[in-house]
Amino acid sequence: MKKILIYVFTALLALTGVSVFAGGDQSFSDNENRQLTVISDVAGADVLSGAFQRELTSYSSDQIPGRDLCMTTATVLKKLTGRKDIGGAYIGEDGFYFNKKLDKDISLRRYEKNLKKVESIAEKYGNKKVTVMLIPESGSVYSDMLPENAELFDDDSMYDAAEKILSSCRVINMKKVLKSRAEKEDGAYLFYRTDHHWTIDGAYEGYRAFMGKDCAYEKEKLCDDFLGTLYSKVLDRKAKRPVTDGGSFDEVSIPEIDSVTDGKVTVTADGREIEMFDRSALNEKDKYRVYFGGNHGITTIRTGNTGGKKLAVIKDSFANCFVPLLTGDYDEIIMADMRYTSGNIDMIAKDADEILFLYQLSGFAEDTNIAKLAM
Amino acid sequence: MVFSSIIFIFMFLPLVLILYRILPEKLRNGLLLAASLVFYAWGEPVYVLLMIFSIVFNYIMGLRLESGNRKKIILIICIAVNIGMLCFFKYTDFAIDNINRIFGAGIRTMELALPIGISFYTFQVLSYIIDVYRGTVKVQRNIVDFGMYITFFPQLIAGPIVRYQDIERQLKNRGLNADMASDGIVRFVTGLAKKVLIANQCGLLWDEIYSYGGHIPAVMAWTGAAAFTLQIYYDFSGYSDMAIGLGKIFGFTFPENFRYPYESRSITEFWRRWHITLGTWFREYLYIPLGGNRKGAGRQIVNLLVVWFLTGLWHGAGWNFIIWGLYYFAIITAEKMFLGVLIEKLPKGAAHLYALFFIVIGWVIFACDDITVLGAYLKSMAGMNGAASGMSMYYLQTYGVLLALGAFGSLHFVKSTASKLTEAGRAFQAAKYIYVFVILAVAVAFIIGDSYNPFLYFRF
Repeated sequence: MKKILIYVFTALLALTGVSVFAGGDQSFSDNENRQLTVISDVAGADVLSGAFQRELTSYSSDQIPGRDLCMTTATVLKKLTGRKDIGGAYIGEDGFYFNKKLDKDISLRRYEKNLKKVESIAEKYGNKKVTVMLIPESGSVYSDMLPENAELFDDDSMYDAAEKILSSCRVINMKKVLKSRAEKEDGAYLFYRTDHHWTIDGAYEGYRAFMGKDCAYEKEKLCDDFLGTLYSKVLDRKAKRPVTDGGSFDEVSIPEIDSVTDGKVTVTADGREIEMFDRSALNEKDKYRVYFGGNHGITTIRTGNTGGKKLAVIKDSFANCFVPLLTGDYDEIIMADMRYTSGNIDMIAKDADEILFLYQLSGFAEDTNIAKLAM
Repeated sequence: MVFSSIIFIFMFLPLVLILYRILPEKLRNGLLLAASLVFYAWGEPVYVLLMIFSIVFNYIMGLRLESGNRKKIILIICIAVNIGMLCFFKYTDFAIDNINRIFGAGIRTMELALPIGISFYTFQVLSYIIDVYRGTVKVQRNIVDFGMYITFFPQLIAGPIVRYQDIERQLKNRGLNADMASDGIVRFVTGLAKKVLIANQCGLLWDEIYSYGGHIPAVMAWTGAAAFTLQIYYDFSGYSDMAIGLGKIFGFTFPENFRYPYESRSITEFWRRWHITLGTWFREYLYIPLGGNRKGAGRQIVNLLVVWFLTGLWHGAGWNFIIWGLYYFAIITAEKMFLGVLIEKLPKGAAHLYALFFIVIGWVIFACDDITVLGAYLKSMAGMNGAASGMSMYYLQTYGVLLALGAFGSLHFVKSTASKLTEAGRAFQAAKYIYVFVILAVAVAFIIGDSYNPFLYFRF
């Protein structure tokens, strides 16, 4: 009996070890949304510097068979012991995950510094209308779906600070806007369950607040199997919507906009022509990339309209889903993502009639590029 | 390489086990030496040279000590070289920092990576050298056996600190023993589970609460302190279990390192049950040679002060570790002088509470490497930032089960019940083997599921 244990134990370990090398390598983990180490990384690495050892160590854990099953098992067991957050995401009700960001994770100093920078830009362009839209966390809008006693950072005081500092701007309190919609309509699908972004419905609330009017558009559902960034933190295959709701994962939809389907709209990103809606992203993990194919430094949208209005948007990824809705209202929209471009503000905003700063609130507070924006 | 990694569990370990079984007995120590050097070289390949130097130098010095001439000088040189290397790698930057702070000198720190396990193997080597000098052990003439003793991978990184006299005989005469090996497997897997399933998870909670910077409500502060108290026990004793288990698989019996320390009823007792091999080392090679308690009360207090100051410093190059050592000096001296008598009169429960209170406070000192955070944290525990608000209840709810399981598992009762059951019949014996594979599978799932996997004792 004892010998059997020793032999079975040794054989099991050895066979598992061998199986890491057998079978083809997987180079990307959709589940975790990251690159995996493959055998060529190991083979080329230097032993003396320790690189080979590091690569082989991560190779062995990246390519072990049953990796996804292991991660789900770990998550399920953690949930069994009552854990309500895993990998930095709260496990809320109805299959909703929420980014777990607390006061201690937010630097108010940097936030105010960024606000002051925006204010000085607004002062510089006194003749242009400058609007600031900061999008709250999904957990802040759906606060009743957070786990019991769970908190998020105090965004109300941050919106107050924005209104105080940005005296030359129009500040839209997006938390109020989204929350009032969520309160009016039970089950309003304003944010993804498994991703930190807002949905097209959430962005449409942004449109109404920004434009002060409605716009008629049809939604085209592209997929209902989106598992976003928050899913990759929790890694639980059970991240499904309630069965009554169809039991599927997150839906990604795009607005059907005539000028886009007519081919009147052209989009250039960093000098290259791209599609406004990149359907190839539907075959990838990050289906939010369907909007503009992800982030670019400078994206220029010419809509074919002749109303004479131009808009400059300084933004993060939250704008990607929002800006398509504006194509009926402007002739030209320039989107600048300061993480991917070093352009100065004049280049971006000189010709525009209006300037919009659109960020997720916490992303804006963490941003290190706004302060560097040359004036 | 760390034990709780896929590469160790599924590649390194089975390979060494199979080779060990195949090779004739006289080549086995050579295999273990080679395997240990590979194990060591995994993180910082260059430091293998340091290790080889250490083996060769101490091997030669051992031979010289035996030959009889100027033994004392050789011993002093030997201690100076070994301690010198330890200090150089571990404490130089700390010293530079302090000099810069006091004198405003802008000396650049060296930012050396700490050779893994240097605190542990330095003490092992010294036990050999000092015992050879004293004549309590015979000198080791076989450099392979000697090298294997120093580098043996199970206890290389985080102990137990195996004195040469403990395994002198096992270096030669040990066969393959199925009883020991199967016990070793159970022990190894148990240690792995302690580390991965409890210590790492408690560690997440502690890290999160610590990141508030110390100004938190009392409930949260105590929850964090409890989390760290469990983390360090499961981390370190889990590591010792893995080391002892692996030792058994290869036919070695290492000394035990932990005996349910949180069940202690005084701090003196706690230190007899916590990191036992370190306490033994300091007693044998420092406290008693200094005169122990045989030279009067005054001298004893000085001796205790030296031992506890160095115990603190051994744990890390930081003021909090020194404070932590002196904290235990104060409590243990008080217990020796008068407190011990009073505690014995206390009801059992009260004595447990007394010990646990000071143990937990001790761990807070240990864990807060930023002194200003430490001050704020202790104030928070005293309730100076309110009782409970904000996330306090959330952390209790989400980690409560884990903390309760951890506290329960630190009791002797669990182990003794399990042992009684497995002795009771074959069915329970079989259950033990099923346990091995289930626990191994779950631990591996957690290793893969959690990128978070540091060994606390790597710092030492």
